[in-house]
Amino acid sequence: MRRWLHDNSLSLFFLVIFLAALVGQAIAGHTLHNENAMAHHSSTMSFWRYLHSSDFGNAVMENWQSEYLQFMLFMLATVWLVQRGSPESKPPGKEGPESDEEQKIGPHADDDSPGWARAGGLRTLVYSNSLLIVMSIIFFGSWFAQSVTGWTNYNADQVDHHQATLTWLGYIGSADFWEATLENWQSEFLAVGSFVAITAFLRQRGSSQSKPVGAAHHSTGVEG
Amino acid sequence: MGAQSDDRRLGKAQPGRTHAAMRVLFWTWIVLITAGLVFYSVVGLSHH
Repeated sequence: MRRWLHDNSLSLFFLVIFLAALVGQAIAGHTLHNENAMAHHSSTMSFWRYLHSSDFGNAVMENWQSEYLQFMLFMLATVWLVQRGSPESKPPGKEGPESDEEQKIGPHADDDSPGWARAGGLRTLVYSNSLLIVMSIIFFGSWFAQSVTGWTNYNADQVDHHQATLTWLGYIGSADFWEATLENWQSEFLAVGSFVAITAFLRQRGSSQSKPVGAAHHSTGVEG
Repeated sequence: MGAQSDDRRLGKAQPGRTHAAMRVLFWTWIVLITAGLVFYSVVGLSHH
């Protein structure tokens, strides 16, 4: 059991703090929602009802979609683009999908390579892009969830203010949807872009996300 | 002797168990994410 915890500590740590942060968000969001409801002389809702609301769902989904967009774009961009000096980048000159030999595909697979890497054909093509496929499904799925929960919230506000409601497609084209979407995207792009550039010159000893402390500033794709 | 005990400690002799533990976490994350986005898609759509 101790070994299991040790070997999986990175994902377990993030699983625990993710759940803790989600519960904290739900408690704070529920309190805020009911404070606003009382200020507007409308009815409050139970915590359980709040968890099932578009209000909470929208707040969660708009952050999820931007995180997975970040992963999706970063994975795709790092196939073709490089940043000299960054541990997150391949060395200049290695741009592109690389050869079958470098990627250990088909006859170049190792004994313990995944079966679909060795299989060839469609299975290897799918497996070669499986990370991007799954990240894309999660991104588009959570972006859709953001759109329908945001649509519900928007129309509820419109009804409260005796204004016309929108269709889903109308909402997709609205300033409300794009403001919520782009405020998350800009922060992800800022974080990734700055991290790629900053890691060329700064170090964190012992981290897999940093070059070794003594690595040269110009060395690229080297992780500690 | 040292190498043998290191191998046992590092679990190299038990790749099946190592993979099983990794699979549990892989599916935990996938199920959690899928449940979240499907649930809130249904929540958003059900109010229309």
